[in-house]
Amino acid sequence: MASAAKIAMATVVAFIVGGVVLVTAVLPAEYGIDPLGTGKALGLTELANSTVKSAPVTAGGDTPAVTIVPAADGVNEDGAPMVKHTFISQPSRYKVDSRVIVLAPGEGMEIKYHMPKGGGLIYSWTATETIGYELHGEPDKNPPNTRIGYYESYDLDRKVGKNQSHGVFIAPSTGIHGWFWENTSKKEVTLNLVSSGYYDWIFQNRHDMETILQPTDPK
Amino acid sequence: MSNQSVSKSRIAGLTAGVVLVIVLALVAPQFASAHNVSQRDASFVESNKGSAIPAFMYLGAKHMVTGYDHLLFLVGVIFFLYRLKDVIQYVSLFTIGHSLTLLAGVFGNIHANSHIVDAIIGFSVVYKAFDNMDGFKRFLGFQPNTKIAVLIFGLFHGFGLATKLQEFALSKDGLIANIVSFNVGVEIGQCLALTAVLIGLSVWRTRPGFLHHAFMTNTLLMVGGVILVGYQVTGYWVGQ
Repeated sequence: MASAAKIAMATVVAFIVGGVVLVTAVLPAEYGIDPLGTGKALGLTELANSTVKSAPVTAGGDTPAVTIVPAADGVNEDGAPMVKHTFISQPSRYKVDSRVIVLAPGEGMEIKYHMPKGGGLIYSWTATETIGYELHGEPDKNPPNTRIGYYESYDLDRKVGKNQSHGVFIAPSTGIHGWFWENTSKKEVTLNLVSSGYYDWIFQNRHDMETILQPTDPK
Repeated sequence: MSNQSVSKSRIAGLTAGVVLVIVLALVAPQFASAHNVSQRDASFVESNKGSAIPAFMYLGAKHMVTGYDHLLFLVGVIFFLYRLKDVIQYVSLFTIGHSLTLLAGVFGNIHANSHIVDAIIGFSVVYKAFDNMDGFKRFLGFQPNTKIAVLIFGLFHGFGLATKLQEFALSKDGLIANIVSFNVGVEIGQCLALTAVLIGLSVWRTRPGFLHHAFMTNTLLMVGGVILVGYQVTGYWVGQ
């Protein structure tokens, strides 16, 4: 039988080593808690923030500019200044869609709207719990030299998540644009999505099944 | 103690120890996701209507084989059990314990906080490692009943299993058959993992210096337990 001193020493060492591994590696990798900066140095904090898929994240600046530029030269016939980049002409009447989606804990799904490049979308979604999401799109035609499954990300928070999001979106390419949601909470979540925009059909991916849906108010 | 073979095997032991800790630290994140029933399995569990005995058995076995917390505890329990009869006795007590709370937890709809339960499971590893070092005999002057300890910790491990299954909305159809299948799967997975551990341990026991490394290994087991406790307690506080 080992001596009391040896056992005590081993126990203390075990707690110190365990604590060091915990603080330098496990906490940064699992929760992004990085008090000593070791997680950043080893690239472990990436694990806490990142996700399964990796995709080129399109910066906001790459989308068609909707920056409001007051005109320096132009005025209308009444002498009022012409303000540019505030108006994008649309090809058809807009459609309206609203849906209530119930997600079990851990369940994920996608709703994406097919829109032409420059097509606008106004949306709101609210959820009964905080859930992870990613606003992203897949162009009908992939850019050259990109692999199957290529997509572009516009806005995301898959780790902490949000319980609502409201926005105006202009499609940077002709294709399907919308959300991946994942119920990261422990409870069943009801998600309320309402949108209006210049889309013609809706893509749904749920339980590994891809379906085409029609807008709830297509007129 | 200064001959070459001892110092050589001591280095081997140390190396194995360091590798174990590094693997634990680096693989833990990947394992952690494998530890919970994965996303794909989850949608299966939810979309499932009626009984699906083989599928739930598979999920139970998979959970046990990839559930490093249960495995660490079992390694601690059988570490000094040389006779098959003893192994069977202790493992049966563990099985009775975790089956009771797995079934009671899911059927009785008892929702324990998974972080707290998993922290207690981590603590069970620390406890068993300290026990194997003869810590209790040395500091308390007596040996706490090891069989009762295995049974009690088995109860907590069962609550841990229950919380994993409860994370999903289970269909009411075939619920009993499915949960029992999951439980049977857990036992199959446990048998598979235990066989591997037992083979490894019995080979190791025939080598010189086992007892010296045994102390070292239990210290490492304790390190693993400490990491598990810290990981779960932090998870409880940050609410993830």
